[in-house]
Amino acid sequence: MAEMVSRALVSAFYEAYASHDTDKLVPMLDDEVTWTIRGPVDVLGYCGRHSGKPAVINLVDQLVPSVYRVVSFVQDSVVIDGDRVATLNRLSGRQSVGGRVMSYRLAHFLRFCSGKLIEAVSLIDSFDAAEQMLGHPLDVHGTVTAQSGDLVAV
Amino acid sequence: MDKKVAVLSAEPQPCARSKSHADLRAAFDVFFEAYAARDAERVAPFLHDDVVWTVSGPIEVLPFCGVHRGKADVLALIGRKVPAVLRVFSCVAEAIVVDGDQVAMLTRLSARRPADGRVISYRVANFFRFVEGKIIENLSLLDSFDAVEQVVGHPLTQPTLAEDGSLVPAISDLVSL
Repeated sequence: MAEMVSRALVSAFYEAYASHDTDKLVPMLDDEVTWTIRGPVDVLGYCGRHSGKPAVINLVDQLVPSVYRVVSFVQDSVVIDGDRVATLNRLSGRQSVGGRVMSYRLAHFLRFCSGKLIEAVSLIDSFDAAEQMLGHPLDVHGTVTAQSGDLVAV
Repeated sequence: MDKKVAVLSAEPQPCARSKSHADLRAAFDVFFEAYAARDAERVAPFLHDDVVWTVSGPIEVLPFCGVHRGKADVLALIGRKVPAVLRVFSCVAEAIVVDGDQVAMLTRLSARRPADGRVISYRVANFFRFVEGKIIENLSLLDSFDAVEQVVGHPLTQPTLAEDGSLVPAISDLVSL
């Protein structure tokens, strides 16, 4: 029978996660936790699969903050069903390099085991996030467009 | 014609859930079968007249993205607008989470482009809200970067950026000194 995750646990988890408080986060992670973030790792360096507690702590403590600092984290929806939690969130952050503000939607699908997070899948509006990260529209037409400052041979 | 596959996650654990939870889960399972098959006729009874259906993503590449309001618009989206861009042949639910009047779902979609038959596969998160047994609200959050790359058929990745945001020259780049 699947355990029932409490709203209090979910709230405590997000309080630690959104504030990058690894001291509070560490005891809430299973040793075998995996955290997968879907997205282009060459633009959003924190994307990919992070396995094990040290890797997930590194993700929260180093990888994500190297890209942006969270300014606000608003939960639009929290859905709890047994040992599974799904949340829909709006994240706003400021780029660590350049200070540009980014804001995008983020969905989490979490699974808990004995009160600890054992699995997380993050799905973001990755096209929108990548464009904001780069500061310009992505080339969807496969053509090279000269930007101001480019050197073009004629 | 591709055989359409709809795969549900494992049956929900009985535990201490209410009858309403079981009822919503049962109803959702029937909806999912119809939705996975993109069968607008079978989906229709599950939609509230005032349903709002939002699909995240770049509308210039995925024209079905945006906000769709009302039952007729949403049925047109499912039955016509999406199939014009992508013909879904597999919809595998990796997680279904039911709580009160809300259902969240993580799926792996596989589809073919009508233009050339190219297969595209990406993940989608759905957040549904029900009123009186019908869907009144849905947000579909796509792994849009992955989806767009596959639809347009080429990488969207930009040249490598250094830590300070400057471009890192690649072999064959022309650099002024």
